[in-house]
Amino acid sequence: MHRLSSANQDYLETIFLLSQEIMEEVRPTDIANRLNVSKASVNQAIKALKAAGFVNNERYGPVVLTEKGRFEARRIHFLHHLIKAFMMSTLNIREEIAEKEACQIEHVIGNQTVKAIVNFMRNNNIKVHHFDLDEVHQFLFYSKRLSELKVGDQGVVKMVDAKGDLKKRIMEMGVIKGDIIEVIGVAPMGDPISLRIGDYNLSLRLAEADYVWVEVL
Amino acid sequence: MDIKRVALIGNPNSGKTTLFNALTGSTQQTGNWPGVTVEKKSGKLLKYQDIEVIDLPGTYSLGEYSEDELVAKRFLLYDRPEAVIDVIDSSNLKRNLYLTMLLLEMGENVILSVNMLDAARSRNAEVDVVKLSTLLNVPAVPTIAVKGKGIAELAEQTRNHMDRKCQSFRIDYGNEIEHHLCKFERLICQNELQLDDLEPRFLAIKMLENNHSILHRLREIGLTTEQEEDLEKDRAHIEGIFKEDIESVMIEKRYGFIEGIVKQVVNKTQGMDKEVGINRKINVSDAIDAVVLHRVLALPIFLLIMFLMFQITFTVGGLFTNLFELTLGKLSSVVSALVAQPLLNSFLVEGVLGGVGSILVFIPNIFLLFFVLSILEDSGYMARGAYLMDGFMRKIGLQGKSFIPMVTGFGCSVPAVMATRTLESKADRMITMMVLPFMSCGARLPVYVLFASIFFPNQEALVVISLYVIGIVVAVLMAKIFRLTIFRGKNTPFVMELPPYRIPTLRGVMIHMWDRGGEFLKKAGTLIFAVVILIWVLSNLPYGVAYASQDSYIGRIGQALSVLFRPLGFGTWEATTALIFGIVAKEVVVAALGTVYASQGTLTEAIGLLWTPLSAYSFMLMTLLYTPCIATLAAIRKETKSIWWMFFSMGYTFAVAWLFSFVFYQIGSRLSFWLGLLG
Repeated sequence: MHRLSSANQDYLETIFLLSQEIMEEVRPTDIANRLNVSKASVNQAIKALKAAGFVNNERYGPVVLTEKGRFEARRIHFLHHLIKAFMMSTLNIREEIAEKEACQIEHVIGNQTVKAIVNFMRNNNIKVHHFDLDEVHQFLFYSKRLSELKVGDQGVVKMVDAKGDLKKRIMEMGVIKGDIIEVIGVAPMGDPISLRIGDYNLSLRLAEADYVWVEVL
Repeated sequence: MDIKRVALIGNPNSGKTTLFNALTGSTQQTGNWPGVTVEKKSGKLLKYQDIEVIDLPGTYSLGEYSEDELVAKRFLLYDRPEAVIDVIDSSNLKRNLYLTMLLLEMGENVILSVNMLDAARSRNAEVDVVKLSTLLNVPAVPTIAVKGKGIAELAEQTRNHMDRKCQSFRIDYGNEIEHHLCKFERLICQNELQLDDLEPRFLAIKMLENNHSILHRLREIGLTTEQEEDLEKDRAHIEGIFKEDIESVMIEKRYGFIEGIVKQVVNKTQGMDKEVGINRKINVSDAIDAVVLHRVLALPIFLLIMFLMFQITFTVGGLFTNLFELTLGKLSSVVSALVAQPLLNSFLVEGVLGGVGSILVFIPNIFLLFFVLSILEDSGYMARGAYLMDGFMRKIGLQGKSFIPMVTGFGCSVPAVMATRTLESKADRMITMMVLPFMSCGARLPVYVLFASIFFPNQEALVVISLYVIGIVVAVLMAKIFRLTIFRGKNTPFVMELPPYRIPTLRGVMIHMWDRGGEFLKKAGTLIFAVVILIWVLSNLPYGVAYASQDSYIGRIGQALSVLFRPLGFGTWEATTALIFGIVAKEVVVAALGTVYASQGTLTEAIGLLWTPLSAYSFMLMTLLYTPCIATLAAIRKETKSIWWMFFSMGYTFAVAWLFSFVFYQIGSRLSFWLGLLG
């Protein structure tokens, strides 16, 4: 998976939040104003995000998150609030500090810790501002790449994160958002895997299955 | 009589080939599509001889993903058949209808053949064909091609609808996209950007989808740069709204539309878990897969099947071979007794019977191999083989689908080269084509058998197997080298359907076998015959020379080139001559040896006297690895569309073969020298 730098993750999250707040097209100027940085650095970040496939942006045009970008932005955003809420409620840390540090922790925290925090908070009925904790849990732990599924697992296709011909091929073969897909087997050497979608069986290599995001059922 | 054309199209495994055979009976003609060597089949409708059915390659879409797709698309776009029969597998309606959508959008006059209703029924789904026909506004005929049901009706409907003006078909892409499509449609109409008789709507969709070939053609007839920039903006706008690239948006919309249709025409009876949408009832195919693709059992089963394939090919084939040999032997003694004129006698016995006869004797092997391969293919096991072998094939720089041409290579390299067209990636295809001649084809077997029976009478099988194994090892090695040098590039995607198992029909398998075996037979019949006659002529010229002696032309050529093979242990003019003509067809090696040694007693005696076990094995290695036969080279030239790749294949295989034989013979002779000293 393509890992973004902390700074670029912040940009991504900002674009996501802006697009939700202002309900119209996000322009580089908006981002620069929000983060209090120069337009030049915004443009540089956008270039990097675009190269990694997280945003679409025509020259002088608005910045638009791709499906993959929105997905990643939501993940960072969830993490941010989760950590902040945990620090405030459990560790009794002041909001300003929690906000500031959550901003940094969100980039480095691992899955294990997040899972532990989510479990702890669910068990103790601690609420996270804005979010349904179950939804966060679902999103963070049940959204997987098809390649991570085990034989017998089922999932709903969320997105096909490939590009160009490969993406077209995978989709034309019937792997479409909302479809249910089941891993029915693995070849003797561990790769490729065989899948069932609707009425037929398809085989994909792990490398291609990596592009398909599913929500585990 | 005015001939009208109807194209037959459908997904792979939709039963299209069976339907084609049923529709056209024995009127089929095979050939190639122009420019590519994808096989082209056509035939006349059985009852209506004025309608020609053209079988298009099985395809999931009409893109440019593989040569098969391209052929189908080009035919529909440029040749504009009067009608299109679209075969859809009703047990897998959703994905099959995707191609139907593309056809209807193209404005084709579609006749649906709703096939395999029995399979759908066994999955507890009932397809309402009448409703499907109404919803899509096209004639639809229920068929079960394997049982011949609905064929007459389909032929009838096809004839009735040949001249149907296709009514425009529209998928509702939603306000946002429709708005733009409308705009382009207007633009097309106002500026008279007309391509043949393609619908403006279709062109608008292709413009929006950024289809390069359509845009290119439109540009030629006056699409301006401003208009294109405008198009660019609209595309970006839509992509912004859907947060997806335009092609994906369109695919999703089409599938959304199909979903709606499927809901209306499929009545699920029972056993369907509607919530989940996955048919939980274990059907036969899954049950077979549970065993055949089992993590532990899969490979042993696979190897067993491969073993059986060769057992059947060579043991059963051997029976026929013996029969042929006996008949030929009798025939030559009859000819010898009847024809007194020595030159004519020699021509008939040595030239005609000796040469062509030695091809005929292993034709049973070739046919049987194709018979088994056809069964594997038609039953659906071949795809499993590709799936199982992918991990391994990738390690050597190829992919699972390369396995099929490689296995076919054991039969004959010509269809194997042709079979590479199922590979989407050019690099994969080229590598497969370049290395598959190392897979020891059936034509090389007689050479091994001849030498092994003389020098290794007790280890005949072992010697032959060792050659097959060496061939595989060299192929693997070369594939790896090619991947690291000429055909670099990352691994290509592997998106392959695992079709449900089907019991192959005898008729289907036989047709398949005759098609491919026939290809070989044609080559054997014409080319090899010509070569044998050529050898005979060269052996008898200049006039008056003793037959196939050193003074004949053939002897002189062999003599001149024999220097090359001296370090390999067989630098004689006889061996060299045989090898030269082996390039024209491998099986001719035996025939040629027969001819050049004809003056020195029987072939077995001559070879037994003049060769050593070491030089014999070296020669077998050479035969295994050196330059593929001319028919294979011709196939490579056609498939790569380049004469240079053909020359490359010729040259590099020869170099590889020479090197292997050289190393083997040099090490072998030193070893036997030292061993001799020791003991």
